[in-house]
This record gives sequence, C-alpha cells and structure tokens, in this order.
Amino acid sequence: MLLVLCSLDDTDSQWFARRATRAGRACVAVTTEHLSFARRHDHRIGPAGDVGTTIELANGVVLDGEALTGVLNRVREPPALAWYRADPAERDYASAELFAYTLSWLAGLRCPVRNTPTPQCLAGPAPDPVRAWAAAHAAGLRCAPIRLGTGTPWPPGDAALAGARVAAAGPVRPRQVICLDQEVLDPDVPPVTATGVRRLTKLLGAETALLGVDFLVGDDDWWFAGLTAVPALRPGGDLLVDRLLHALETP
Amino acid sequence: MTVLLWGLPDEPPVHRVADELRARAADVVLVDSRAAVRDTIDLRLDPGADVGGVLRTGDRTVELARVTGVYVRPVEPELFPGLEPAELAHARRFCDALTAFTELTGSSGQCRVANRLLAMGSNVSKPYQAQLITRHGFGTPSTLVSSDPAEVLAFAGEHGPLVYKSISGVRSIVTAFDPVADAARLARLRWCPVQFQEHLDGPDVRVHVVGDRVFATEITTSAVDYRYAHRGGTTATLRAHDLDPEVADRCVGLAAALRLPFAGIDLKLVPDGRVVCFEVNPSPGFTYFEQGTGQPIAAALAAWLTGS
Repeated sequence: MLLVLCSLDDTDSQWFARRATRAGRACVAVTTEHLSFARRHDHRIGPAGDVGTTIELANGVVLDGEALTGVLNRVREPPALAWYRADPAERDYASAELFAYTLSWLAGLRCPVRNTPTPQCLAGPAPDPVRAWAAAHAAGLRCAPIRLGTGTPWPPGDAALAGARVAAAGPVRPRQVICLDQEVLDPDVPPVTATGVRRLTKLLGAETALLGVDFLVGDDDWWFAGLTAVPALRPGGDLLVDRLLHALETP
Repeated sequence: MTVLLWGLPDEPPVHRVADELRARAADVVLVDSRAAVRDTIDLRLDPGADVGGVLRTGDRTVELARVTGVYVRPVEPELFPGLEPAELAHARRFCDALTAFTELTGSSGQCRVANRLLAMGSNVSKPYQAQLITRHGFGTPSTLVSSDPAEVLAFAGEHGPLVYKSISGVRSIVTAFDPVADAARLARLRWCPVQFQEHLDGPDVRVHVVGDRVFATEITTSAVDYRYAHRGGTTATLRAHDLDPEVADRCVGLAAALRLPFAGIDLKLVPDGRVVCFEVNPSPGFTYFEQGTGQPIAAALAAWLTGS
C-alpha cells in the first residue's frame, strides 16, 4: 500500500493521492489530523535496531510498516491536535513527544520514503536557511549577499529571498524548481541552473529527496531564494506523478 | 585565539571551560543567553567570502571572522520569564543569527564549534537516535513506544522489569515501571504514546568524547536514574573507568558519525557481555563527572577549541 502523509490543507498531496489511485495504485492519504486521534500506536525497536510500527486509525485503517510499499511524507507538524486546548506547558511537552515518535517511525520504515524526515524537519531535508544558502552558492547557483541579525526584520527563512529581491535588477517573478532524486522536473530551467540544483541536493546529502528550490527570476538571472521539503506538486504534472510513483516503488 | 562561549556564564560547564581557556591565554568572549535582549549581531554572507559580521555583547565588539572557536550551550530566550514581546523578538533574532553563524563558520576549517545545532538534532528523539547508534556497533534496549495499555503489559510480561522515559529530550527522567501501582495510569497512554524499555542490569558508564580523546566514568548506584539518585534518598558513586580500547574506538567513531566533537555517551555494561548504548548527549553537563573523578574534561574541551 502506498501511503501519502500530509496536513489537512495540503491539497497538492491529496491531488497526488488521487492521481496514484487513478493510476491503479492502492493508495491511502492520511492527514496529521487523522494521526492525532489514532486509536493505537505501537512502535518497537529491537536490540539490534530493527524497527516495527503499527498505527490503527480511528476509522479502522491500519498502517502496518511491513505492508507499506512506499510513503510520500509531507508532514510538517507532529500529530498533536488532541492537545490543542491543553495547558501550554503540557501541549509543548506532548508536541515534543509526538515529534520524536513520528521522526522515529518514519525514519525506521524500510520501504521507499520521500522524504525521509530529519530532526530539523519532519518533512525532510530542510537545513538552516543560511546553510542552504551556502550550499547553493557552493553548488554554483546565483546567490545574492544576505544579512541576518538583530537589525533585520525578516526571519532567517526569508533572508535569501530578501537578499535576492535587493540584488535582482528590474522586475522578477518567483519560480519553484522541483527536484526529485537529483532530477530536475522542469524542462524550462536553464541547464546551468538545473546543474546547480542537482549539485545543491548532493551537497545537502539529499540525493534521494523531493525538494523545491525557490528562485527569483529576472531577464536572464535565476537568483536563489530558498529551499523547501514540501514543494508544490501540481505544477509538476504528469511527469512528477510518473517519476514520484517510480521512486516510491523502487526499493 | 578568540573563543565564544554561548550560554550561562555562571553555569558550571561554561564556567569551567572559560577558566581552562583563560589558562591557555585564549581571548574568551562570554555570550550570556540572558543578555540576548540587549546584545546585537549583524551576520553577513557574501558570495565568495567567509561568513562575517559583527557581534556586540556586553562591552565587547567582536568581528565574527576572527572567531576561532565556539562552545554552544545556549538557553532559548522563550525560557526566560517576563520578557516583553519586543524583547523576545529581539532575543529570538539574535539567537537565530548567532545559530546561523555557528552552523556555517568553520566549514573551511578555520573555526572549531562544539557542537553545531544541526548535529545536536539526533537527540530530539531517543528511538530515532537509537536507530543511528545501532549502526555503530552498540546494542540498544528492547523498546516499545505505545499508546496501548495491553501492549505495555504484554511487553512487560515478555521482557521482565521495565523502565519508562520520555521519547524526546524533554523531561527526560528514567523511572521504573510498576505494573500494579501504575495500572490505573496506563489508560492515559491513549492520549500520547510513552516509551518503555527493558530494564538492564550492570554498571552505567558515561563516556565523554572530546575530539578523539575519551574519558569514561563508572557510576555505582541503586537508583534507576543515577542523575536523580538523591531524590530517592540514594547516592551515586563515580570513579574513572578503564574502558575497553575497542569500545572506546567505537565511541569516538559514533561521536564522529553524529558530527559531535564533544559528546556524552551513556553505556550499560550488561553482565552477558553486551555493551548497550542508551543515548548520546550532544551537550553534556560534564562537570558532575569531572568533579567526581578528577578527569580533565574541561581542559580537553578547551584544548580542542583552541586546536592545541
């Protein structure tokens, strides 16, 4: 069974689940909200590190780690909705526990997972924005100088975007480039930029990952503006569906 | 040599490392987490240049490009009570920017950082970290994370005495599970799964790895969690432990694989010969062990930070 994990408002993930089903795959979409009210969690680590997990949802669906053939993981928040109205200290504790549990569960799956979670982001490789900028620069992508500190109004995640806005001359448009397992799924991307994107994923140790690399595009310039582990899927169209199904079905 | 110590200057680990650095004539810059509401930082990243900028803390102005070492042990600004929203926002921006500096500086080798927050991440989930640990030759206790009381009781029937502890690094106190006394509370598991592990006999050994140096401490106690022995009216006795060289090498390899130049590795030497690793602490409060054994851990860390 193919599993799509996402938040309730992630319509792109649900679009992919529908496309997978239409393509004849047994596919179930489970939201963070579903997971928040699961009937049963059972996650085991053996003495040698072997992992087994079974989750029984409130609607009776059972997610057995052994029965899953592939997982599209787009979970950004831990499944802690049941604690929404709890005392803040208790809610924070429960959220930390459920984050830790979800990380271990998804990291321990033996089937193909896009993306494998990281301690920094359940949805996959999403490094510190400044580290991403440095990797993008090392990969040969065009990067504008950035500033970050107590005198800058933007959060760290927007530093590269803010820098690109300043550096780009003339009108620009935002563009997200989808990269899956080092393949750029967009024929309109200039070759030098596509090469840089592939190098970037390698430098981040994200060779088997689905990432969105954001740019501000001017006349001829593609300015690096950020990175996400939860890219928009619909713009990838049929090509993305085909490639993603292949990735999730190839051990 | 300019070394930043980021944390609480009066906290023993920071205090000890500062003393050892000064003994080596290093220029020590204390970045007090409590002062993040006033300190300022301007971090600059220019294509083709190393990370730079200016940090102003207390009466010091520091060119970040001149920093040669960083000991990272900050306290999050959200944990300080009574901050006004504007103060908290300033402190958060300060922490974010200084964190970005510690993540990036030294990528070409000119600055040593113990430890980068990226590397500390594995400790946010003990079962996740256990999966990494077992790839480096250590065993891990049989573990069940469950929201099902019946499964917990069955696990206890299979493995004998159990302990429970947090899955994350929050409120992490190891406690003995009593199937009778705790029975009434088991129903609460429905709301949040809890981590149970088989109880293992044998001495606890804390191994501090500093670069490629190893300091092992054996702890003797009747308490389930030796760190909190006093709460149960018991004591914990520490003594330097002569660690098997092969195990020591594995500890150094594990810390290196986790990209932690400084780590506290918790081992259990099980009577059947297994060496089980409970966890790797990426920000160990080492002074408890240093005071109990006389092992020069702060000096070793200061030496590593200064490359001496």
